[in-house]
Amino acid sequence: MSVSPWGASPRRGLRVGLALVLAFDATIAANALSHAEVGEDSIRAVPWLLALGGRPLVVWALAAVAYLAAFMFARARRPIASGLVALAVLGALVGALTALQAMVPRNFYVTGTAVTGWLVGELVEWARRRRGEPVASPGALPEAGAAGALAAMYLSAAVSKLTLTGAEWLSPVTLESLVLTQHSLSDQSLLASYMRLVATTPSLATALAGAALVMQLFAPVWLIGPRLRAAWGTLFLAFHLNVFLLTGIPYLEPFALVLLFSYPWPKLAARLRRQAPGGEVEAPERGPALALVAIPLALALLGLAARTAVPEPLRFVSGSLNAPAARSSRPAEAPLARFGPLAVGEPLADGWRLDALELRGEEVRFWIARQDQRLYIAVVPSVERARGVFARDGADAFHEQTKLPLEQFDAAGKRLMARLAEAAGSRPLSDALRAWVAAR
Amino acid sequence: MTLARGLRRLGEYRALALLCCAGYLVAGRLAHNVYPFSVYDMYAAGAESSASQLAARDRNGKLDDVSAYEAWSCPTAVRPNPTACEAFPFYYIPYHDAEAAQWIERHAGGEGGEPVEVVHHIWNIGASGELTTTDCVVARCTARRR
Repeated sequence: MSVSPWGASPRRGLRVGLALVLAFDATIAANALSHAEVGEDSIRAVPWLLALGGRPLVVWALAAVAYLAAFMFARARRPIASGLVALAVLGALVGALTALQAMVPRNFYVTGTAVTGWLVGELVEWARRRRGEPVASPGALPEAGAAGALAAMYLSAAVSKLTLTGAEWLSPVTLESLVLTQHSLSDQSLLASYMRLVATTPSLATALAGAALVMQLFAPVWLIGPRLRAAWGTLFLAFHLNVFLLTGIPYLEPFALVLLFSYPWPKLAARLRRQAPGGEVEAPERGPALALVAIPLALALLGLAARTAVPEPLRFVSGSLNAPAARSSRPAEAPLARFGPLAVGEPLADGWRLDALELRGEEVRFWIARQDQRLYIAVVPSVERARGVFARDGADAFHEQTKLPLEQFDAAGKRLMARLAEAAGSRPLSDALRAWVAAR
Repeated sequence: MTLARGLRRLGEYRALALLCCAGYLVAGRLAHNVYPFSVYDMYAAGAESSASQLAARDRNGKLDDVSAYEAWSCPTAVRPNPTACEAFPFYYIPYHDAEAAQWIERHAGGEGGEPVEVVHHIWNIGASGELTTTDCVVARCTARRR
């Protein structure tokens, strides 16, 4: 039994598929950037990225470079170099879109993820050739790398859900909110009825959320063999289709890539042509298996380099800067007049004052107000690296989604957090927050 | 060498796939969101305890998309303004509401309309998923059903 659905067949189809998705991404990103302008929400941390907005000549020139690189990648001409060029150009286009729109266009990341894995496999294959070792089935190792990275995408999504929200993610509230906000009130079709059913049946919403989480958490099952690849791949596709039906969010790139990598297309095509399918992937005779352990280390180093090179506002945009990660679906307990060092009515900065205090489990919502403006800053004790624009060591701090530019309430948020940190003194802020919650 | 034996047992293809999986997972955690690395945390933040849409409500209280109507006539330009509602804060998608307002603007004018209110229709979602609704009137207009 082959370990890959593609057996010993050439991986030209996979290369071409990846190249087409890369070119598709470059087109969509260049088109969006051509019309993008710097707005109130734009992230100004990297000015040259913002400068790409509204410059069609420049962005289409970059897209042309990506097309050329994708073409070379598809033809397996200098695949490592062409893949890296395509990733670099897409990285610039995606970074510019992220900075301009203050939103992470994650569909593009999926392609980047797959190409990254593919290039890791290409490097291993290149190293083997360089040492004069046999390569039983050219393209099999790049395929394995891409599949591994794609499985990591789903696993990462599950890990994010569990670390950010935990079991609460299974609450029907998340899916209900998404569907209700996006469904058509006038549509009486069968599809609309399905959306309404999910939105009004908490048990169904919970079951769908749970199924998605399990499927993502066990994504590495997809890597075990062709049968499980096809089975789990079908689950991935069903998941994306269901998300599209319920929310209208089209995850085209993952859909296309999972479709491409999940099924034994060469075998199916051979059957259609009534030809003998390709053979097995032969196990390498002198495989440098132990050296492969360097792969996760190398990828981790690349991740670390990316972390160092890109400023935090850009890395965390929409991921956590203003993500409602700290928001709890728990109903508010009785409003508080005081929390730790802060009392309702206390002035903060720029005319903002503390307007109300709400406790939701461990989350404290500090409602701040100024004239007719009001929003909350949610603070949660954090044991790991703290997240959110107002985060301090030991506390996540997110602000409510609002149309107000951050600059308007930035000083107030920082003042609020500074007051909490001062009052915590030498104690970790997380401990102080928990103590104040307990003492309410 | 247990590690070497384990890798050999997996075979090079599976070992490479699994190690790439692990490596990308760690790289994503370190970089957060820097192309091509990501933590894929979309919708991971979980529960919004409300939902809303800018909707059209006829004199019988029936709710529809604003695009179910044309020939809109409103006293002033319709501007979504969730923060002005008593029920605020609630979850809304600004560009969705803006698109609805644009529809009204682009399909303004005409005769023979019936009274229609433009409302923020808000669903409050309880911890167990139960729904209660409330409307916040944005504008009182006339419009004709398409």
